[in-house]
Amino acid sequence: MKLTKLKRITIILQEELESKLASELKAIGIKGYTVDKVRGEGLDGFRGSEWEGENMRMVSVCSEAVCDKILQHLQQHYLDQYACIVYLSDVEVVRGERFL
Amino acid sequence: MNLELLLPNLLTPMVLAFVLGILATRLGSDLKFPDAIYTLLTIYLLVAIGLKGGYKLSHTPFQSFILPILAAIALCILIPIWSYWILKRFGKFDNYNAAAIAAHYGSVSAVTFSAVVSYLDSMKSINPAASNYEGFMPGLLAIMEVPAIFIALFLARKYEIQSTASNDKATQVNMGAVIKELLAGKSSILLIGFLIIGFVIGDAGYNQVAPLFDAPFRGFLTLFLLEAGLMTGRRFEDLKKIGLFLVAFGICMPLIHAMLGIGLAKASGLGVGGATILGVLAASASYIAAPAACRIALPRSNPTFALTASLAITFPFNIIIGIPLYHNIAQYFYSL
Repeated sequence: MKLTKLKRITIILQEELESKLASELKAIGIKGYTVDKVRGEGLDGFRGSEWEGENMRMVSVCSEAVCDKILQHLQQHYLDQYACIVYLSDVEVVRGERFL
Repeated sequence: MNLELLLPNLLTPMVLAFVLGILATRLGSDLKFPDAIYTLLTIYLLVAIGLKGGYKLSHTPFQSFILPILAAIALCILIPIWSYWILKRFGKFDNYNAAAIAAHYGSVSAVTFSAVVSYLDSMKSINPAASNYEGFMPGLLAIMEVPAIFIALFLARKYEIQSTASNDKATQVNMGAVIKELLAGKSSILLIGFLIIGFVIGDAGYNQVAPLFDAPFRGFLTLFLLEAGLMTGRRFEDLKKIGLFLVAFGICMPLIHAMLGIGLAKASGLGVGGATILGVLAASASYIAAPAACRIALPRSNPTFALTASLAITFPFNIIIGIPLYHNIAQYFYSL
């Protein structure tokens, strides 16, 4: 089966911002995303209950060009203000055209 | 302080469940409520408060709650402004943290409200004259939830513009999101929505749902306070981080605010029970609406400060000592 090399971007951020972030990323060019609720601890303290606010992990697969734009956007609007974690990885996906 | 005065409040299932929750966490218990249960309990409490308040409101002449509404609005304008000033001037907090803490203390706690209502209901058999309260008090709770948060955010933003002289575009986007979060947030929607529903359904409609929302209220409140105790117990670990000033702030400000609330309540024509409730509303600090708003609008503030002060100091203080104390202060004020 044909595989396409793409980037997977993972963003961990407070869940209140999910819909805002999702619409911004769609405007930048992602075709879809997956979100799950996560908890954990980092330099900005523990996030793990409704009281403290919960975190979500948003995952999307996109081209390297879109990925660069997303990183710039996050740099400008999120990274210095919110407790936000971002990382990338290389993935090989089936039906690559669906992500472009 | 006279312990006898506190006992009728201490030996209620709600307060004891709260203390058990704190103990359970301190003992390292695995007791934990699933998120969905916590959400359900919050929804239940807000619906029950709104519904009953709206229903009682429909039996109240309009003139009798104009002045109490003005008193409530005055409180939620004054409290965040002077809290912000005190936190910055004497607490040496930065702009964002001062505003976040001021937002928490200016806004109100629906659970503390529920606790004082259930306390007054249980006092009715002992001291009926001093324990009757006006049925429209949940309306004041709904009014007082949001404005103080706006004022605190406005103060933060005003100071930010003054100090940086830059028009930060990111913050503007946040303000839009926070207005949406506050007005469409679950506590506003449920409280205001069910105040209206309770107002229009009449006796027949209210009686249909009263078996679920009236009698079992204290049972659900007991469950919620157990969960609140678990959370408070976890927050105790952060007390070291927030400093002595904020601990003192978390106890002194509610006392002052309660007296202010009781004084304004008397001036606006509320009875002793209503004055106790307004005092508790003024004294209480938010931990549902305000933290959510601050996470969006003041991301540079450290939630440890506001949430720990509100949850680990002010909330237990009000639940265990504050409510009977304010009730006695109100009785004293009214006997003058």
